[in-house]
Amino acid sequence: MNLLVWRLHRNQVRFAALALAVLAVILLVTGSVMAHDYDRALADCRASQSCADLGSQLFRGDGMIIDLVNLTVVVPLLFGLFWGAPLLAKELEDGTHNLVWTQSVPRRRWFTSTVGWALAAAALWGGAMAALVSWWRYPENALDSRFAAFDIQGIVPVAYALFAVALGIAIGSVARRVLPALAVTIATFLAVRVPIAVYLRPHFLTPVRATTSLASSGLGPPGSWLLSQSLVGPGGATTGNLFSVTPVCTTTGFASKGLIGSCLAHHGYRMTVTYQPAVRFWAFQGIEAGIFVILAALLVVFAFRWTLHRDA
Amino acid sequence: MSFQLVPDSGVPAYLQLVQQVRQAIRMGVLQVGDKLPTVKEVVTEVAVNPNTVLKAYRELEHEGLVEGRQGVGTFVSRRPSGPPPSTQARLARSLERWVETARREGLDDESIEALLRAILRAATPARSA
Amino acid sequence: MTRLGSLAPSPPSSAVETAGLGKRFGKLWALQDCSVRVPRGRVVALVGPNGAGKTTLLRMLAGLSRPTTGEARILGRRPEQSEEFLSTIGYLAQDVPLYRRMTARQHVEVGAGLNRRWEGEAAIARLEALRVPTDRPVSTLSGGQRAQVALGLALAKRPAVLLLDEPVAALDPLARREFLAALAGAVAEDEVSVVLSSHLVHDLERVCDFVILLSASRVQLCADIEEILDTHRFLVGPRRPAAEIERAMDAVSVTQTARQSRVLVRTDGPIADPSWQVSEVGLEDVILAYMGRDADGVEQQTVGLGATA
Repeated sequence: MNLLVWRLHRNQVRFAALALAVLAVILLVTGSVMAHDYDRALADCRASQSCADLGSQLFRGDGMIIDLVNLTVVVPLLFGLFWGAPLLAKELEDGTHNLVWTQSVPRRRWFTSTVGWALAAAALWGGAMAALVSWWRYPENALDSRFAAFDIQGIVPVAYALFAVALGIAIGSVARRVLPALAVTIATFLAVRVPIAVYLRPHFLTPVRATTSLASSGLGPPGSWLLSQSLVGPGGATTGNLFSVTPVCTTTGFASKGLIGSCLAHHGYRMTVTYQPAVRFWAFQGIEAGIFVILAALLVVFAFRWTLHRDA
Repeated sequence: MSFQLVPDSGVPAYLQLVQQVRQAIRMGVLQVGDKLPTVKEVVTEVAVNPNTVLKAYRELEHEGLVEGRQGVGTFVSRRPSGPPPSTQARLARSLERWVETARREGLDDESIEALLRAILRAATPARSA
Repeated sequence: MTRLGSLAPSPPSSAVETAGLGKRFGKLWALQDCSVRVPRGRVVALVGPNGAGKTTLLRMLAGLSRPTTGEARILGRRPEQSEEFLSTIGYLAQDVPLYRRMTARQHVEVGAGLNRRWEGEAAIARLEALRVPTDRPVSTLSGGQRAQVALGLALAKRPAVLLLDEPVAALDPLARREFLAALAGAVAEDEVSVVLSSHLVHDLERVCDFVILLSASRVQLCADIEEILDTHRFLVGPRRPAAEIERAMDAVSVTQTARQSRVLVRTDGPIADPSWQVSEVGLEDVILAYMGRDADGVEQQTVGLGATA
């Protein structure tokens, strides 16, 4: 059984391994340089007592490499397309299911092997990629919020990969043709993944609300994920956007933006922010990964039942 | 020996096999003591149901021309009644000469066959049954 | 399950047995009320026009499709997803599915992992004897060679019952003959029971010794070929009304010309009426006559004056 899986999918495995190797080399080289630069800059600035501006002093990697790293966000979908969707659809389309399902291996064992390997490969690849990216982003994560690159590091890429592959498998088992399965997989993947990231994720846990002085720099504690901000007037009422209140300060000669903050603070304005604290990063990773793993499990169960109970 | 089946001759396949074995023995292609091809050899040669071959061999056994030896094969045990191979050969040669003459006279194969059939029918209506 | 569709525990003497087997796709019955019994060791021609339900029947026998009604048994076992059942059958689907990019040898290697009983070396040897390239992707082979590979794979399982769906339909006459010869060889060697479907009985007549005729989703005929030939006769005689003929005998088809009636009749004994001229039938005649019948009637045909019957 395993030999069959290998024979049929070894090209995908080889290609994926190659792509992973290339990515690993690029990230390991640039990542080492970045980490080194960061560590030295950190030491320097600590010596001179001013680390506030550290981020802007550092070379943060080539734009192309940043793009490449950010592009890893689409890799799980690629798994769904290249491994998930064709896995059953290709057999059904070519009619080879008739061959393999009449060998002595019962269909459920065939399914378990085939799907099991595909999921394992996706999880492994997703895990390796996420680990690389997480390591590569160490200086970035220290300087910036880790929430900024939530989707490409930690454990969620593994869950996305599992979900994408399971989705492709389930859709392929119903569509029974590769091309329609690909199209529906793309559409469904995005239709699930985007709304969860945009609408659901900010509310996984109740955001923290805080009022900060306008004079201080930055909104919310360092590393946190800022969800909303609003200006509160001296009376305690929310005042809408900054421009509606600027006349107070512009007329009194505060020209530059930084000074507007001081002016507003002077007139009793404050800023209310809601955010998710940096410490919640792993809790959020856990919740989001859990959602996609559960979805993946449901899809696999569906595909299993569909494959076993529907007429071949 | 090798077999050949004519699909649309109207003669059942097993009978064609019987006739061909009989003919082979008569012509001396198969001698007494020779082994007939195995059922598998025959079926892979002419794509016929194994039971057809078995039936043909049973028929030949029934006629006493061959005998089956358990686990060894089927062997020619006796020549069919009729003249010995030398006579057969002599008759064949004379027929060949006759066919040559007929062709020289302008008869095509179809006419020759028709003529032969007509003469056979006219001469002896009572065949060995 | 309907009462019609229940089988008493059948003796394993029958290779294939079905009772009230039916399959419906949506509103359409692909196969209805199919009850057949095929003894072991037979080579069965499953014939019928396209769409008669041949594929549906074979797929249900192979466990690829579930019956809507009734039940099927292969060697007394219901088609199911178990190693015990699957290892008793060999199935060759229509269009001879193989993994295009794999070679015959790779198929054989893979098959070893999918079957407990597997005669891979013998399969390769057989293919090489037929000069089928075993180290080239099967997509580069001819249709006849691919069919041989697929047959070799099905036989490597050493199945007790071999189910072949239109295996020779797409082959040229030589490849067809080679395929059937290989099949007959396997039957002679392994005593495997075979069911092979075809819309042309002519291809299969010599290799098969049993016929199941499906037409309009129903079984029209299921019998030993010799028995069929023994029990059917052509009668030609002065024209008489079809109704009278049908009253007098078990007519399968009646063809009327201006002066003559020509009847294909099913009979167990000699024909007593001396006004009929009796002649023997070929299998194809019988098959065509049964195929031409509507659901359960007699085929009737009137031929124009000038036509010969």
